[in-house]
Amino acid sequence: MNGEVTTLLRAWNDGDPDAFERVVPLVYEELHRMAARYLIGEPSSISLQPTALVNELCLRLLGWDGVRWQSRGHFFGVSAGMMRHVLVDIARRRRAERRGGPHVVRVPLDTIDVPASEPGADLLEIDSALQLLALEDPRKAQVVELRFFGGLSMEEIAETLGVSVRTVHADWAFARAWLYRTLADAHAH
Amino acid sequence: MPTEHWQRVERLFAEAQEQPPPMRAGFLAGACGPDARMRAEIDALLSAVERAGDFLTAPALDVFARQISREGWAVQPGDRIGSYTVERRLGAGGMGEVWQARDARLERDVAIKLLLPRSSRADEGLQAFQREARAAGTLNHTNVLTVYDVGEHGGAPYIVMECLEGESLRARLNAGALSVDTVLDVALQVARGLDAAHARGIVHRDLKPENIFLGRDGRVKILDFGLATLHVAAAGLPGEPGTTAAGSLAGGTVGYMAPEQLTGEMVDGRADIFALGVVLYEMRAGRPFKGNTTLGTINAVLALEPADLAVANPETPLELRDIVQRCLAKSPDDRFATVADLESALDSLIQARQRPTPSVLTLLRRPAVMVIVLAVMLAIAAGGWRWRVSTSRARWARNIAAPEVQRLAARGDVAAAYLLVREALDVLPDDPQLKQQWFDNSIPAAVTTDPPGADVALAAYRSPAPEWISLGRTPLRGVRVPRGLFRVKISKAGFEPILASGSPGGLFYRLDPVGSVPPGMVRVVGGRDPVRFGGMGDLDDYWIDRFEITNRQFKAFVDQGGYRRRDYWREPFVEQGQSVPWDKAVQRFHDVTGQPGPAAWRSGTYPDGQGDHPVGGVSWYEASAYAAFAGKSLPTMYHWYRAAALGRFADILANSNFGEQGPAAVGAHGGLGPFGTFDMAGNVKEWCSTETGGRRFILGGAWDEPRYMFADYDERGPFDRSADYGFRLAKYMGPLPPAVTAPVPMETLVPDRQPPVGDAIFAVYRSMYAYDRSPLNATIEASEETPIAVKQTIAFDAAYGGERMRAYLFLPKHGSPPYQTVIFAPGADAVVLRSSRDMSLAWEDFLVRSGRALLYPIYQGTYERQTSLTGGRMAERDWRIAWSRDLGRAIDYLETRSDIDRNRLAFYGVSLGGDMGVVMAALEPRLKTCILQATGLVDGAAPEASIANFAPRLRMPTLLITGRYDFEQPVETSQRPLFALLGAPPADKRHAIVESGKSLPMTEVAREMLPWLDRYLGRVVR
Repeated sequence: MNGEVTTLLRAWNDGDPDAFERVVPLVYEELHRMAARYLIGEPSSISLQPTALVNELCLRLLGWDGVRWQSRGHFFGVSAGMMRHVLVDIARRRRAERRGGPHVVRVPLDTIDVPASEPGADLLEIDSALQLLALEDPRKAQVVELRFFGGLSMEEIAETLGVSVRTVHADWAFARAWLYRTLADAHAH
Repeated sequence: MPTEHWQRVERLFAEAQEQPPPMRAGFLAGACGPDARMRAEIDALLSAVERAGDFLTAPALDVFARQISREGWAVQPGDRIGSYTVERRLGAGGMGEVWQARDARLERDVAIKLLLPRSSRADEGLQAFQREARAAGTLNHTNVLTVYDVGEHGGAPYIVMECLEGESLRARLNAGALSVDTVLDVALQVARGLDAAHARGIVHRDLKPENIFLGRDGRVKILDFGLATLHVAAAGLPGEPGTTAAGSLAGGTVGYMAPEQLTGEMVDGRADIFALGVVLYEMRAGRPFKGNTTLGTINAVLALEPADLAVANPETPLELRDIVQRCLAKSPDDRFATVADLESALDSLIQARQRPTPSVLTLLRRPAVMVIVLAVMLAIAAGGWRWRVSTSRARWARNIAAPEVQRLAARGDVAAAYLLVREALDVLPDDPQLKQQWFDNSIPAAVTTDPPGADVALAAYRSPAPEWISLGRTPLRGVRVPRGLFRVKISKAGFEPILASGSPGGLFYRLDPVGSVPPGMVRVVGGRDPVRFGGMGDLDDYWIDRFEITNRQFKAFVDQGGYRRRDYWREPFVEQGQSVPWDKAVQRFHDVTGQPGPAAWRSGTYPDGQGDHPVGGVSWYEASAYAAFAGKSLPTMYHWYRAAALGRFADILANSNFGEQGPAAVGAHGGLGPFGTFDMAGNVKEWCSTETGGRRFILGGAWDEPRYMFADYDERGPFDRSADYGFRLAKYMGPLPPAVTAPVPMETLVPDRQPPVGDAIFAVYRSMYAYDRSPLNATIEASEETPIAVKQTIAFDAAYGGERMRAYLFLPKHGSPPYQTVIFAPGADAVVLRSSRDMSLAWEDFLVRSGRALLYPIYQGTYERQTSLTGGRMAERDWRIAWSRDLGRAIDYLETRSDIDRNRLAFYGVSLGGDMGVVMAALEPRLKTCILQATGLVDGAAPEASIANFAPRLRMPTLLITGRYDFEQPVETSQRPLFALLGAPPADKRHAIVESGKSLPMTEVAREMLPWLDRYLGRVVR
């Protein structure tokens, strides 16, 4: 499986958008498993960081022999982007699967799962807001992508983007406030 | 490029936050002036900061996971699946979800079980599954869940079943044991359902209370025939078939699986009888086979007899007891031959009881409905997860145990890996992968006791209720122990047992006759703490408290007038050079209400329920007074450190009280030390008698401190009484030498480091390492294949002594020549081991997998090239010179090979190999980069071979990987100073600190090393 994923990801990285379509179902299962495992919870260990799961996934899927990495930062940058693409794509497909059309649904009111009403619980809206942020300030959007989707530490982000750690912290703080406000405003309407 | 407006907003946002909150409004008013829009924006952002909470703090994966969990893995209410309309979710688990749906055609409610989506490669399996599912069977049975339909929706296979109202047997059991009549009723119905299935050749294989449904109408149904396999496969990880968090093995749930199922032999209907027996037992008296771990439960099923059911629940009729016992026979031949036989037995018993109340059994039989024969559920396994009925024990060992061993070891839980691989080797003693894992996770050691003839058992370190395995009787030589921290138990009749942590090496214990050990204390065998106090000389044996002094113990001191008895207070009270009279001093030692006692006590006593917590809030003087009262002493710093024995493995930190809200009951965290102590790491800090500059050492760290405080020095004023100050006592067997009791100036504890020597002198040192390039006379003595490499044994002439030396060259199968090559230098275990057969390759595995070659020379003094090391600085220097020449020779050899890329050589040294490596690599210009692991600025060598002199000359790109809790080479005093000295330019050196002890988990090392090698050796071209 690894070989196939790797080839497709490489093709995608080289600019073939169709390759991505084909890789998603392969990665889908893996992500489901990871999500299940993440929710079940792993026994604690001194060296396990929750955000390391993302990198573990990418390392496992991509390996170090497949795609051309220019640097550690490059790898992390691409893996964060990939993670974002895949998660958002899956979320979008799920939503699209919902058949349209009216039909009577006898759903007892007390059993409906209350949809998330606070910002931050819906990946698609976070992604949209992030795209808006990228229009205003690309670097801040990159910081969010690397941190939120890629799980990198502040130091690793600084290294990837070539800025100081202080800058990363400031970018993150501002971006977070901006995104929250944008989403909260959207919810209010 | 962000607009000016944007940049201004950003700037003001940051500046506003720097103002104290009350000043912000004013600041913004001034800064924004009339620009109300700007003002509103910034206010909105500041308000967002307040409300954001944990927005975006969890990674996207978390949001993703929760979102799909919330919304449903594959469908949402209102979706249509075939002709059914999904309404609400009934449940969800690791394998998929169950939804209630409406069948509009037949106007009935159904349950749809959706399994996690499959990718296209499972298509053939899915089709087979559907084909067989639709093959209508004529089995219809009221005690088996009716399946109406199967299909696939958006990649997710689903099963449409009758919708049941009621509860699972598990839910009912949670509310308590069942009456005999109910038990018999349930048992009979289940038996009938099983009978019907067995008649069709289907064995359930995962019968358990979760799979037995008690309908509201009194009917009992069996669910989930064979779905267990998909359940597990979906929740596991690729390459790790089988284990999930919930203690199940591939295909079943441990605790209900019959012995022949666990060992992978032929399984027939009698395995279901066993499971039914377990369920019967559990309905009356709880689980018959219970262990604290999966392995423990397996062991119980295979080897232990459960307690007599009639004894466990006295109101159980003996006939039922007998029936259950027969179901639970270890050998299938001893059980009921068929379920029909079991049914008869149950029937007879029920008749015999002749209860007047109408039995549920007489319930009507529904008209026959088509039931899908669920033998096909076994076909679900198709597509990669096929569970063969006769899975061999070999497959368990290879497919389940081996990956689990890998996972445990990579995580650093070496002792648990060791125990598991031992089990697996019992099954497959010749499997090469398991054998290598055995070498990777174990190492020969010696265990001796005085007197000899004691039984030694060992267990995993981290797990709370470890299982013990016996190693044998002392003296033991060459017995294999885990390559990490473990627990050890020493027992001999007539002597006090010893429980302590053990680590690889020579373990020696002195046993004490029963009754001769001071209560609550353990013996610390004499010696010294070589890491810090090498020049100290040896300490004699002494006793030390197993636990910190508790509140309850201290109360005895208080109640017996300890604060009033002047003769307990023998230490002079001195503050800022002035002497303080006794009565004035003692007045300070009072509790919250003003009574004499520790700082946080009230009215002369401790808070309720905290009798077993360590006493805290005591000054050094109070601790000393208690010591006098008890007839013991506070330990000196040396005695404390010897008992704590900081070593290579930081596992104790995982079992210690750090970063919690407050102290824990002594021993509760299970942080066992090498002499049997608990809580030397964390809980409360512990006063020592040793003085430094008028203050006293207080060691070990506390609940409210970071973990590295276990190892770091700390000293406080003797009058100080913080809540986390406590102590434990020592008892000496004789007078202490003056050197040990003398005060210690703090400066002496910081290593005195000379600056590195100048270039002229260094040139002289360098010349001592030169050697003549005489002919190598190299031969390839052997060549064998491993799963990932071709392993060649090379021999060539050493650079000295007319010796011949060997090296192992691993050529990667997934790679093409000329290979980049990493030359390895091992840690001290290579010195301990006599044979390179025992070599652990765990550290290098990932390198070879990355497509690079690995050269592992047998350096002087390691493996077969043992020398009798005399110790001392000159011998140490000569040893470093020898290794350096061995490395040179090894590279000389590599240069003769056309399949090795001589321009892409790296050095990788671990621990001892890292210490040596600084010297070796500094003198070897043919290396492109150097990676050092688990080392630091280790002092004490002669200047011609000292790390301090060579580090600045190590100018090639260098990666230093270390553990934050490395006690032997701590971060601040050893690791960072080494890094600072390394001669590479700042852009070409890196210090990666991993959250672990000296022994680093492999995955972390790979994460750092592989990108580094890609950068400095180049990417591997396939």
